[in-house]
Amino acid sequence: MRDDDLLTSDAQTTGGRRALRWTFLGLAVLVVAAAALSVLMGRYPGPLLSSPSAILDDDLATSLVLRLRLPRVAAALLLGAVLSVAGLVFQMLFRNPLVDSGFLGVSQGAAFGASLAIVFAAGSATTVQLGAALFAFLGLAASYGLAHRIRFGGSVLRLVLAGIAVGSLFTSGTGILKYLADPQRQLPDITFWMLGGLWSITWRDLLEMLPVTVPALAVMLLLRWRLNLLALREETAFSLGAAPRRERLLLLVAAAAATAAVVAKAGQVTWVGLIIPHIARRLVGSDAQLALPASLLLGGLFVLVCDDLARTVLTGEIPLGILTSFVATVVFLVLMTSHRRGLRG
Amino acid sequence: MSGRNRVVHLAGVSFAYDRGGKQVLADVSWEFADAAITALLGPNGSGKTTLLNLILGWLQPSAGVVRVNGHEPAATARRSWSRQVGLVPQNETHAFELEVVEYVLLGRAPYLGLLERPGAADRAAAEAALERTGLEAFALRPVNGLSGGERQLAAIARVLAQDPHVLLLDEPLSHLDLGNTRRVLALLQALRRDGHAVILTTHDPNVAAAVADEALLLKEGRLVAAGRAREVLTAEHLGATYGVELDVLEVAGRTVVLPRV
Repeated sequence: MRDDDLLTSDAQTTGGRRALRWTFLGLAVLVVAAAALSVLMGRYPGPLLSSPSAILDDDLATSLVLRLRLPRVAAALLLGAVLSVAGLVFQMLFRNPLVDSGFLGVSQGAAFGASLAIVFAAGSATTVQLGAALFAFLGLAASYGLAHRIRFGGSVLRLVLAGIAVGSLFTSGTGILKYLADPQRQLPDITFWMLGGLWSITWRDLLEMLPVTVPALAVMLLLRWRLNLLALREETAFSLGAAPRRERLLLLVAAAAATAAVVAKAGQVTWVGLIIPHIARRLVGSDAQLALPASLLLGGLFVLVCDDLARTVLTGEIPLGILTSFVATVVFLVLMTSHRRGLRG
Repeated sequence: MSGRNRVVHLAGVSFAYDRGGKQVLADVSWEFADAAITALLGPNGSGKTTLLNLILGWLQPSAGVVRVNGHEPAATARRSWSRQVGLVPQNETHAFELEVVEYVLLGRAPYLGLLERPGAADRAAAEAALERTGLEAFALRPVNGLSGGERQLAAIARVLAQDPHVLLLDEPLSHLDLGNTRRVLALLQALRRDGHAVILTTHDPNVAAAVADEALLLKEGRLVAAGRAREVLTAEHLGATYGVELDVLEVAGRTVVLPRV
């Protein structure tokens, strides 16, 4: 019996590794293909999909693709990658598969900062982005500072409690700002920002996101094996030579900074950070060495496809946040009801 | 305290979670033996787990000194400390469905830098640890899907891959059936033969009587008795520790503790 078990386990290892290699290769091919198609997709020059020659022959189309569509495709990939990787990092650091950036006051802080800029600082694109990024970070800092003052529970519980409280404070603050906002000009801006979207993304926006997102993604990718370690109980991680509090803070700052940088440009794009890591774990297993790069690819693909739908399905633009939350919720419900492993996957 | 090398030194160790609050441990001094199994016994809340966490360096004593091989935990680099002292906590789980082999590989963390990931040598160590605990066939199963006994063995496999000189085990036998109890005890005896200092907490004086060379009895944070297991595990000491009447019998050359009911 044991020999049989061993044989199957060996077969599973080699078979499993080969399957994994194909999974990653398949994902990478899908991302590249989707990016190429997305560049050709739009309402000009063709109704839905144009051939490369049709675009190159048309000066207006060429300039439109170069100036608007390319940065938008790249931003969609980056947005999805950042939200998903940060989501996985949050979930592992909090040892909870149901956590995302909304649990640390980061998203709520961003919404508050953007609303504040719209109501009190004329609401130019720059001030909105700055306000969102600044308050996203303040949200994290406040959650972290408050967690140290809570007098009971382990450090994870304290952070979650503090995050919920800080997030809730920011949400009520946003409510007050909405109430104060001019209903003709400012309120629609706030609502629109909170729905999220990439319609105004330029090369400059994309470049402005890179100095924060690239180092933050690099930190998370390089430390991905440590995530397995930090998902253990704190004293166990400590017993294995980790400095759990310092390492957790480093990864939290990376995840929150990257999230703040993309959310500041794209508004609230919800559910990506929650659902993509689940699907990634289903595909390649829970080991963060694999689940994190898989989240990166899947997240980029998911947001890119959603954004393609957002800009092509109707004559007007559908806010991206609506599409991501709709599609992701449907996927979430299907996953929850169809698989015996449920949410733990 | 004769004959044996001493590796873990506690001198006048006290601990309270809050400054000025209730003392969980009060003035505990003991030198733990090398190449030996030491059992910590005492009622719930007597400070057994706290004592393990102090030796681990996770908690710092509010008074007194903890040393392992002459070094204090706070003054030693984290990674080199974790090659000296390892922990198997009670009822360990992982929040995600990590495979058993990936879980055991976490034991290699003390040998890896912050940016390093386990390589072939680490995998070999993990596989050897799985073999030693009889878990080879479970290598690719999710660790949370194992039974309580198998999960305990997986946690021990993780600490075997870590290969620390001092092993701290918090209730390693709770919730185990007879077969798994026997396996874990045999592993601990093998570790003692290899020269490790094995320190475990247990609720069962019979376990201590069966495998421990030395035993410490704790009550409300104070040492009631400490020394060779045979001399510590008496009806008088155990009765004073647990506040119950009991008999300590010799049956077929073994010490058996029976509470009176």
